[in-house]
Amino acid sequence: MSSGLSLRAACGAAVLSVLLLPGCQVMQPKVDAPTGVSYGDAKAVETVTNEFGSTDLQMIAERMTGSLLESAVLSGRPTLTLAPVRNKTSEYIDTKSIMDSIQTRLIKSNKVRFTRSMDEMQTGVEELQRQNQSGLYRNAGKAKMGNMVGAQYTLEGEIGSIVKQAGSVKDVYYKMTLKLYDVSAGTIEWQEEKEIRKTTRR
Amino acid sequence: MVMKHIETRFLRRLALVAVPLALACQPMPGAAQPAPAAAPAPSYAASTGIAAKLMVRDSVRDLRVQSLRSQRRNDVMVVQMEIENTSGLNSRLYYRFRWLDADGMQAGDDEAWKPLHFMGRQNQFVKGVAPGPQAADFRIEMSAESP
Repeated sequence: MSSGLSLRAACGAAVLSVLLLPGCQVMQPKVDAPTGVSYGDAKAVETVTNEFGSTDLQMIAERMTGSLLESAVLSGRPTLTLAPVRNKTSEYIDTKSIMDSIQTRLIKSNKVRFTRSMDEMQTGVEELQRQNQSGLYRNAGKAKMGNMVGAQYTLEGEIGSIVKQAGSVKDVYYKMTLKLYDVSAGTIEWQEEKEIRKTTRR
Repeated sequence: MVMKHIETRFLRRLALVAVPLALACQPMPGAAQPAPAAAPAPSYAASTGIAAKLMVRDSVRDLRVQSLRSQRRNDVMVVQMEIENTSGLNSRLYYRFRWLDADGMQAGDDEAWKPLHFMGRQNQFVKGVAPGPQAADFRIEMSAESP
């Protein structure tokens, strides 16, 4: 009799605990699965492989921006535009991403203005044509043709690398060079380079 | 009689000089107490003034910041730091600048951590340029561990 009672009590406790447990769980502001995915510091030093990585991009962008900002060529808030950066390394590098980082920092410094680059021109022209030639817009407030500002300087550059391997040692040397050309005079008004060496020993 | 008169005058003059001198040597009530000896600079900085600009996360082992100077170039703050490896062993440092505006608010975004390799007993200069004219002060975050 008593053993039957205790069995029923145990079953009741088990059912109650199953019902109550989800209510006691601590809610976290995340949804995850046991895959090992986690967020990290985007500014941390990345040395997963010796190929071009996020730290290289960030170090190049900081060096180039810092050097330009302390240069007197930026006095008077001149207009700049970006030209494509040649990738002369043996690997794929998104050079547009490097230049975008440099452009972001320069614009946030408020010491320069940027005009549309050649890559971005088509979108601007299409928008101007839409406002001026479609007949859909009122005259008041629409962007007029022929008011674009020409850039005084262009930022041009290239990135190259030297890769050497001997036995278990692999050495990669990157060099990014950036030049600021005066568009009308064709002269180089500023130039900087950043070197990076990465060595892997297996 | 004349001698006694001279002696009295001499003693009066002596008293006139000695009393103010004695008062000057006494601690004045309510006067500031002598300042306690300044805390010594930590091992990673050459002075307490330099240490105040450094944010050392854990340890920088045998690295020591020997000098720190700043100036404005083209209206942008430029900082130069000289770091010495006081040990004969190679060492690695991770660092980044943090820029502050005149109100103590962070100016610009976080910089990327940068690695720096030191050979034994090597000195290196590190330069940082502020993200814009709004930066008026700085800190340097340092760590010997990989962040």
